[in-house]
Amino acid sequence: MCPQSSIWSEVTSTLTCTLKNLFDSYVDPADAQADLIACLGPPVSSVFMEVLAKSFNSNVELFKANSSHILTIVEQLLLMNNIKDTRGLVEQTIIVHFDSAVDIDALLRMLIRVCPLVSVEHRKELCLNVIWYIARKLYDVKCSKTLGPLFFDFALVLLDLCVIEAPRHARILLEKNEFYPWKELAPRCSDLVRLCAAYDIIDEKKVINDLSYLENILELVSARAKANLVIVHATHGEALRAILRWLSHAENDSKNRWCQHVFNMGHKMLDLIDQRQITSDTCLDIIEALQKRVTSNEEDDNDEEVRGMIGPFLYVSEFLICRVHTFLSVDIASRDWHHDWPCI
Amino acid sequence: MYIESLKVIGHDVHRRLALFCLNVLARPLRYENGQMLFEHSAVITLWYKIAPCLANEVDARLYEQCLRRIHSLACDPDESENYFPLWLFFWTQVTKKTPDMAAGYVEEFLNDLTDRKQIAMVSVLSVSRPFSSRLY
Repeated sequence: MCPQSSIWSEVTSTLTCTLKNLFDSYVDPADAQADLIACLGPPVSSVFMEVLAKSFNSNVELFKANSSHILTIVEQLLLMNNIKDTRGLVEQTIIVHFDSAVDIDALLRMLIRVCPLVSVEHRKELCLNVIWYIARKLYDVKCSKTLGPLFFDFALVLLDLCVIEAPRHARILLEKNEFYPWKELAPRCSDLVRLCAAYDIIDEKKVINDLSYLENILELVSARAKANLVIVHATHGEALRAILRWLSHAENDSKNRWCQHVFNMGHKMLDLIDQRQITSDTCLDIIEALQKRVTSNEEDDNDEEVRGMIGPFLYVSEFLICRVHTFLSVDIASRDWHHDWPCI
Repeated sequence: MYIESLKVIGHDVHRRLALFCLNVLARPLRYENGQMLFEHSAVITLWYKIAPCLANEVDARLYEQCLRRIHSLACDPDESENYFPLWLFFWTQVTKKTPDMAAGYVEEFLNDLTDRKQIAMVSVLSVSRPFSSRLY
């Protein structure tokens, strides 16, 4: 097939107009597989694929018989970073038949395997054009709770893409109600926190942006942690690491400042610190970091922007100070108790 | 042994905290426009949490230099509104547990009461022994 040839394009347009239903039924549904593979070329024949996709759209049986092949095609397209054709195929087939005929387990496993392999330049497109539809369907669909961990893994994979467009979809997945076994997922929550914190390298100057979804995710985790204390036990390490990192200066920015979304995350991150794991070394580290920040602010005193940033930073400091105090008061409470006993 | 290790932990942290507070207190208080530097607000908040945690004289003495600075700010008519309460709070929390330390400051307490008309100091004075002995 030579899509570049003008003769061919005439052929295809004639075909698509007159023989619209050419591919609507197969004597043996498995024959569709051959055609699907043929679509891939190389080069990929978008027109052919569109026509095929339309047939699958209207014929659910045809789709069912070939669903695993369609997944293979999507995989191949993604590996080629061909987002445009992926979208067409996915929209016409997978999305249409999502509730009735899609094997969600297989779909998720494929996406978990393949999304990280999409090149960095194409990830934004991937999120906007493909993940957008899939994530929404996954949120709505009623399926077995045994898929919970798989959904969670997919959310992690999405966050790991590290593009501004990704957190929105990860969040909608995680908000699926009464679906996740949070106790069992507690250890993985540490990865979740780490992946959110990793967005601090993104330099995003707009005040309102899609990175605010990261805060929502962190809020969700701390809400679940209230019901499952084991979660906060798991997230403590990463949360503390992030906060100490953000208390000192950014390395990537020429002005050595973190972006607004980082401070906003920091605020939520504080709830993911486990009181019981705070040690004297933690306190000392925190005070040390605060000290450094205060001393370096001396150089920035005339900078209006820095003063603007101080607001959120003050929040962070105050909350930290309260935590330090709580640790100290636990300390004291045990000492006072010991103090009273000798009177007996 | 557990209690012993807690004591040691507490002291180190107090020492570091005191150093931090002192550092901050040494810096200018306000911007040109009158806005207070955030680190000072932070120290004020922190102070109210630290004082109740002081259970013995050794720890309390770590904060003496801070106290001196706070008292001088408390005597400054521009800043006394913020800083006198810190002075007062510290002593109301700590006097019972550190009577000897408080004794060293009775002079200041009396001055606060008489010169600076800080009636609240009466409660501090009534608790510290040396004052009672000075009465007689």
